[in-house]
Amino acid sequence: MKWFAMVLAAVILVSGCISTEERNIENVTVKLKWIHQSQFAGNYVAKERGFYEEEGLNVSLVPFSFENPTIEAVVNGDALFGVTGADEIIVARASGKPVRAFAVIYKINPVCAYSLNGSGIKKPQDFIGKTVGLERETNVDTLYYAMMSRLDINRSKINEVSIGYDAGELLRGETDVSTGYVINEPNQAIEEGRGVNIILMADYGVNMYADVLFTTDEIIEKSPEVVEGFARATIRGWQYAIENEGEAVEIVLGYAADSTRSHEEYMLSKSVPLINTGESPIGWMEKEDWQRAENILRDQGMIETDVDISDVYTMEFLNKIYG
Amino acid sequence: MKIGKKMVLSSVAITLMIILIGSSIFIIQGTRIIEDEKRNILESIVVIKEGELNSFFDSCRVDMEEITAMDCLWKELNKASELGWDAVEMEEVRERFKKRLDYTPFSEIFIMDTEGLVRLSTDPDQEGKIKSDERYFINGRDRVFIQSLYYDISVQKSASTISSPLIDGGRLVGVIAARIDLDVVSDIMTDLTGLGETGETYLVNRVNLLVSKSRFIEGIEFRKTLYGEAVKDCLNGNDGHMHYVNYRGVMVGSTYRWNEEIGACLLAEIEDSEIYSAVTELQYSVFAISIILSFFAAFILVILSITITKPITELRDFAIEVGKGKLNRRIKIESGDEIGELAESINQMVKDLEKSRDTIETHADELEERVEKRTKELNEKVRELTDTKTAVLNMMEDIDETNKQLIKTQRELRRSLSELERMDVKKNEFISIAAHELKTPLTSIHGFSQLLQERKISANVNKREKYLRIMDNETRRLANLVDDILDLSRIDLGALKFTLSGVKISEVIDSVKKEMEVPIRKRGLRSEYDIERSIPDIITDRERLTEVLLNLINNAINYTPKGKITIRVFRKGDYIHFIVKDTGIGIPKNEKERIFERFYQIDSSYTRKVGGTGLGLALCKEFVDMMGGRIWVVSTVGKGSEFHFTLPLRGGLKKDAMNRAKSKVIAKSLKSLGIK
Repeated sequence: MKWFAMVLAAVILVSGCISTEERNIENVTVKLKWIHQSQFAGNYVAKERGFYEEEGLNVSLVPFSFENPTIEAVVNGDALFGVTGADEIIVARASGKPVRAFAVIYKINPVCAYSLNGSGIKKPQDFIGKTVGLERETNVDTLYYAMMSRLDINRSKINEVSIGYDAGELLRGETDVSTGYVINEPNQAIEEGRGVNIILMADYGVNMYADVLFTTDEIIEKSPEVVEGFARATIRGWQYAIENEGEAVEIVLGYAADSTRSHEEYMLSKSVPLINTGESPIGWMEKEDWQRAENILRDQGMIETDVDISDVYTMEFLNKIYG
Repeated sequence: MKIGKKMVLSSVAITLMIILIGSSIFIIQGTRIIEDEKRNILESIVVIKEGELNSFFDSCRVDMEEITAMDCLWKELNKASELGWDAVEMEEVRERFKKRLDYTPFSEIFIMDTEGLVRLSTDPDQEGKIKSDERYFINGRDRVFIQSLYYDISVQKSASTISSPLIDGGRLVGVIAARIDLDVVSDIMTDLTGLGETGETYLVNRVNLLVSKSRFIEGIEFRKTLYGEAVKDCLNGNDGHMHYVNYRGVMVGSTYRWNEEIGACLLAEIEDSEIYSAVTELQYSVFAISIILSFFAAFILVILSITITKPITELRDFAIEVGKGKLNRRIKIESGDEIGELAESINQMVKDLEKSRDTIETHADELEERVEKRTKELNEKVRELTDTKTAVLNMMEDIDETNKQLIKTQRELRRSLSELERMDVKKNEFISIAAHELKTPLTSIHGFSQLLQERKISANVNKREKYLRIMDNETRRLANLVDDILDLSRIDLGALKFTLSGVKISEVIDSVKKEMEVPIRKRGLRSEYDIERSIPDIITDRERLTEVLLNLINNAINYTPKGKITIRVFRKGDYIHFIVKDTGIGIPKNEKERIFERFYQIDSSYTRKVGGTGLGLALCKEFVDMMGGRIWVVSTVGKGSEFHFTLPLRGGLKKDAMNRAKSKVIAKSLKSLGIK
């Protein structure tokens, strides 16, 4: 009987190995929107907890670089998937690049403006006559412009300057209010003991999807199972991160070696409500939201031609995942 | 197995079986009842809580209604429509609204214009925000709408928002909304009445998100998504009960209801262990009771069995005693039941047995006497019979013996008779042959004498001499013949006289030698005499012995054309052995026996020529036999013959003579018996 069990076990093991080999582990490169941080916690968790592996994917998570931005990287095949803002997808599509989103991570845009406590700047209307810091070479300003336009605030009365990617300028008093991600920059000030006022631009009728998972039309057509696997695992990763923030932070710290735990904790805890709104499942997309995004971009002159919104995203994989 | 054990075991088995079956039924029923009870409890909890939630949200509607009916509100709204929002007395409305916050479950009340811009809020920081995309704004333009249980980014917490259109004269002027403080909802859900130790109720919204607090795991509300069977079924709009492993990985029984208004599934769960702990307790108690009952039953049964088996054992012992023969015993059992009655019957039986036995014993003694008597008589008879038998047997033996003797005698008689017959035949033969033999020479003599009477022949001297010579020979031959015949007849009659004396062999041989010398030489034969030295004297008839030797030697001479004749004599034990050996023509095998017969001649013509009578060897045989010896011949045709005969040293008339004497006796006996 023992002998028989051993043979059986061996057969199962071997068949297991064989079946794994048959599955053909895909090597997948994913280009992220920014440097390694809790913003992409779901991806790190999916990798470290083996969710990608379960889908037969060997994923490498590559941070943003100005030399090879995310959209370009995916379009020219350096990466199979990318994480970037929905606005970039629409703009890329409008300029003929065959990129398409298949899941949204940040349903509520984290772009915000923040001022120090006591500055009295609590609403966009308060920007008039102040210095506003806009992060250079990002499209954080897209939303800013949209918000200002929606609120019909005269920007000429505002001193808009370029700033870097942290709260440095604000803290140094170089700006009265800086823009950034609600999940990120304000924390710097908070950690320095300076309370902040957050003005979430999504509160002002200009919400649009932020980070989405995207790839090219070709990949969607030729390797749908890989796309589905990647989407499912990433969503699982985010779900896990939402339920286990502490563990997720630990995993993130494994990638964001230069960061601090408190910073990553702040980022993750601020991110969760933007991802997990309770209104729809994680990753789920609605046409209105894409349409609104397109409208904003058009109004802001970011796109010239109309884009067929159904080219910009696909529900194919979300439908499969959520049944 | 003993009755006692049998009884106890079977009764305990039955009792146990009954108890087991009973308790199983009881447990099954009890389990079902408990399950039903728990389910009912859960159901009532769900119903109650749902009712509470509904009534809560209903009260929110009512509150909202009331707020929208506020006069001061409409006053300001009119101002806003006509003069613009800046003309509105914000602070006053704000204060009014804030008052409402105290006795409503609202944590914020705010008004949006038709574009969704928050114009006024009890939380001034919210003013200026644009809510045009929020569902509560979009739907709130048409009707009273509750957007419930979602995460509101503005206030950065989970919320429900109730909104209501502000319609003035058929025209929408704005949307009023209030944030509902979900503490009440939370309190309703976390109320543990009826939920025991392991039960809980919670809400799951349309996107499988847990939107109320978990009793057991902190901080998972608005984070955890549930995809279990019950949730699935519930989100399809169904109410029901189910057993499954819940989000905590525990087996639970649950009741769930879908609430459309709230847009959430209300679940009430209790862990199976709690449901069934009652059952387990039940089982334990039933088990314990069963054990106790069984012991009790066993105890009673043991006592009962003892009351039965003890008297039975006594009966058995009594029976053994009776079996040993002690029939005068009686058993005493006073149990008053069947065994007692049995004991009585047995007593009676034993009494009867005793009586019978005594009777039997008496009879037995009598019988024994009679038997003894009979036996004695029988023994007598047997003895008599045995004697008779013995006598009979003896008689039979005698008869048998006599019979045997008779048979033997009869056989001998027959033998003698046949011998006599043979002898008779032989005698007749002998007479006829003798007569013939006698007649032949007589005829010759007569013939020749006749011839001689003729002058002619008698005048012939030669013829006269020849014929006279022949006549002389014939006469001599006749005389020999008559001698021989006489000898033989004397032998037959047993009248032959023998003269026995001590004979020196050497003397006999010398006389024989002398007499035979000439004839042997005349025939051209050699002779050899091999006589053993120191041969003792023999008691025999000298004349007869000489005759035998001469006879044999004459035969040898007559039948040996050339060669040698050897005479050997030696002693052999009590006998003297004589051999006359020749190198003659020999005797054929088939003639060897017959040559000793009377008148037997191998070649009669030749014998007559040599003057033989054919009786020579017969006479030798008679003589030798009479002397108690033996005579035989060893011969090879063409080579020669050896005639052997033996004579005992102390010769005498032996067997033959006795035989002859015996035959005389037998003849006499036969005569006396009247047998011919």
